[in-house]
Amino acid sequence: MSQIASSSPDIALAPPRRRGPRFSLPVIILSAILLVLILPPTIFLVKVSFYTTKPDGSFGDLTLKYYQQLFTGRFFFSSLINTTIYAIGSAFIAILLGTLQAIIVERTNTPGRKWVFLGAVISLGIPHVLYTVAWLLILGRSGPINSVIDHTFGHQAAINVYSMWGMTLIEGVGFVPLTFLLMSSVLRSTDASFEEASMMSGAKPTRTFWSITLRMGLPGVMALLLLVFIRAFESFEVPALVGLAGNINVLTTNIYQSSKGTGAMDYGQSGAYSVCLLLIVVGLLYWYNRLSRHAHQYQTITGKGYRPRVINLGKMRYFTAAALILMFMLVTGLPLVMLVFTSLQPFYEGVTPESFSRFTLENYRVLMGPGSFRDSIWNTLILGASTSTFVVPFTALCAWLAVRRKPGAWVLDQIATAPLVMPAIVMSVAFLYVFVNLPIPLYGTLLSVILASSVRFMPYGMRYAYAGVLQIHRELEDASSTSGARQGNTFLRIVLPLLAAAMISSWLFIFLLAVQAVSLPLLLVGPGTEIVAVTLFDLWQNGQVTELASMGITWVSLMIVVSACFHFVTRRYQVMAS
Amino acid sequence: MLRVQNLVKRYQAQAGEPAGGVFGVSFEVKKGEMFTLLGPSGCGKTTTLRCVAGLETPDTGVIALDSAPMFDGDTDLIVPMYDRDIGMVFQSYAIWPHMSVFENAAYPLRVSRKIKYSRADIDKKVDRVLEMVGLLKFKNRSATQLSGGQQQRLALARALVREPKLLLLDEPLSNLDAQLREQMRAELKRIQLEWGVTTIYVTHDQAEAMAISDRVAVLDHGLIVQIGTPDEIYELPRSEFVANFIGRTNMFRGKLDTAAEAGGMGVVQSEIGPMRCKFPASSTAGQDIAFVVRPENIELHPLASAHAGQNVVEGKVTNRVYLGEVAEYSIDLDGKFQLLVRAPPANGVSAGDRVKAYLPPEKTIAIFS
Repeated sequence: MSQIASSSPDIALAPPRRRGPRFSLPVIILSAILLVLILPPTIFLVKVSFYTTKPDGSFGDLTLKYYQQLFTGRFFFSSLINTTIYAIGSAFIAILLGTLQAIIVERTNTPGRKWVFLGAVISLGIPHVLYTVAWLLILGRSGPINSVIDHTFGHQAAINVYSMWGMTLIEGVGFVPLTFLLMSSVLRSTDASFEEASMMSGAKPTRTFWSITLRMGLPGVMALLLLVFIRAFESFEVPALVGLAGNINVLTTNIYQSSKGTGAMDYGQSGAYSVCLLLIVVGLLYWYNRLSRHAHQYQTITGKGYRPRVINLGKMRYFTAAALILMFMLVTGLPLVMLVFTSLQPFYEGVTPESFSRFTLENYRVLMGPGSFRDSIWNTLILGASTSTFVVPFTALCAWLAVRRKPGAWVLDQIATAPLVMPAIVMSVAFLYVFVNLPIPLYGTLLSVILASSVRFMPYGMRYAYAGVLQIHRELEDASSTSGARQGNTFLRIVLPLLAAAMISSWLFIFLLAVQAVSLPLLLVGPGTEIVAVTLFDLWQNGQVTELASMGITWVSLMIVVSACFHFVTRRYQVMAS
Repeated sequence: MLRVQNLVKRYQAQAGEPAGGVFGVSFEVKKGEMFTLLGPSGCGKTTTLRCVAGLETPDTGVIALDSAPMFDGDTDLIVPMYDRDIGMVFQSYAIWPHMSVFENAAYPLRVSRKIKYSRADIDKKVDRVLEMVGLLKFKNRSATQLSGGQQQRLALARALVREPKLLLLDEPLSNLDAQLREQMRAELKRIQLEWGVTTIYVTHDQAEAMAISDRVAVLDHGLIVQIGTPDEIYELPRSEFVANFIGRTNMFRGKLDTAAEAGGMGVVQSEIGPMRCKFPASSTAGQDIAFVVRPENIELHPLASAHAGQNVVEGKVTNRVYLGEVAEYSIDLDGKFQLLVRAPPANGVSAGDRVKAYLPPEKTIAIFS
């Protein structure tokens, strides 16, 4: 063991014999790597919106015409209004359903309430694009809902899902698992003694719930509302699949269309759109940070003796149980059933009596055979694994340096978190410029997608690692130092093993996010580097619904395994931390 | 053996105002000594210890171990913590949960760079140190299966395994329950004597400091206010702070009659009458003086007794608390002052009685107020 230790390259950090420089060597190296990854796309993005682009791709004259076009036309503002309505609506739906679910699960004695977590775990494994498609199948013109309406009220009463309400509903319901998980952790972290104090003052349980529990949780709910609003604001899948078909434009789809939609790429236009969206998101995130900092004042995580108060609902608990089942069906069950049904059809023409007599496994047989389907599954697994494997150790080192306040290390935290402000579609456009203009032929390769998603998910890895390092008692490291171990040795022998659980959850989480992303790889992948989520997107555009469904179901079954691992690691990790 | 000179470490709060630290601490620790840094929280005792360990970099000052400088503010010399030959036990024990008992204790040997220990060496040394703290039979257990007291022993074993020149103990007993604390205190002392290791002990518990130390340094607001043996600190406190922080005491104020020499006696015209006091330091006539006297040093006598004259005050017993071996009496000295006395319970004095209290001059210690 001692040989290994002595021959392993020390990650330097040796405090200097003389009083030290302001930045240590590893901090400089890590910052340099981060800057090389993050700066070029950002610079290109801004530059392309201010300069004309010549046909060979080089920059021409400085111009404001792209912004002028944006702000003088009515299209930009109508998209902005659409985006806002859509984002507010879906945020409200998500928060309402998620909070209701969280309250029932965390604070009542509803039977079977713990199973809701299973639903959330399954949902984490469903790519957003697949989820959207499932709802389009359910609510679409030939879907089961409309056929019931046709039968009872006639054709003219049919609903049109390709509309603002359709977009808002699908997006909102899709966010419910996230809001449920976040709300239930908020509810779990409130100290029961606040509620006990209220009851000892003579307030009944329901009164206590309204004036203490909810009131104290309000800042948290507001912050969460804003977070979902931001996520919806920069979301792409629903607007692209639902909105474009119904001629409802939002900012993200505008960027997509001006980058790819109409033959010749309009760099300047999409650049100007991207910069505007970026600035809006920066503003929103700034607001969110202020709000969530305020919310933390109320957050009272107490370690010992904490036990949440559970409200006894009596007979009412069967109603809440029914409500949970209903919500599970709405959020997870129905879309999955619809997809399974579709995947077993030779061709799709809605849910008709005849369709029940032509179940077939043909789609799955084609899928399993050699060909582009199988390749894209491989590509996607490689993409997810590489992204996670790069991001997780990298952010672990950055976070450790930052938390322990090594000289200059705060810079790492700042830079690694910065990509959070770039919506995925904006980042996609920015990396597209870089790869197209790069002398090395990176454009269209899997490596280019891996690089882009590493940058995209760097902030998530950073948050995980940061929280993980914070949980390691400072003295555990001091004990190693006073035992005679150098800093690099301390990091390898003490910090990394103690961080293992956090790093595994971070790895799985980033994997799940990376393989589901559509908007990020959409503009970057080329022939031979297909990604599952993008393939699903293309299959829908081509109308190959049954192939899409079978591929989606296969993929979801794989991902549920990953997400179950994630759930269990995270749970065990929390047990260890407490 | 260890010399700390004019150590300064200032902490800055967010707004820039000073927030604790130490402002010029100097002391020396002799070889084999158990030296205690004692003081209330925020007095700078842990900061001092962490500076000695090398976990904090002082602003200025000198730290030298065995005449080899570890830190020198003038020449900007800093020996990194892992190159100082020091063992440390932390308040939280800092036992690594991902290692076994054996591995925890073996760690300092495994990471050692000066001497490469062979596998057999490591086994022998770790076994010996685990034996000493009574954990040998648990050596293959996971460290998380140990109780608080056992974790504490393991932390001690780990700190001692490479036989450091200096052992640092940062409030090692504060996380144990009262009974275990006394037991561990005795054991710490035994091990320290057995190994003869020079030790710096940090605590806020004065009884613990009295029981375990060869010498004690009392700190307040980042400065050492008194250094001495436990007896000296208790019997001859040099300031109001020391007198109040260590044990309970009675204090009164007054003016000195005629100049007094260091170690001599003098009469103070005090708020409870003229008192003959012992002067640890010389004082000039007319100086403002306070004096302190421990409750257990005061003698109580019935009013009718022949005791009279110097250093006797009269008062009424307002309260008597029976504590077993002794009883505590609160005596009201004519409405203005209170006197606390600890005396044998069987002296026939009860609440409501008027009594005479005698403050023996040898035990009535003058301090500058």
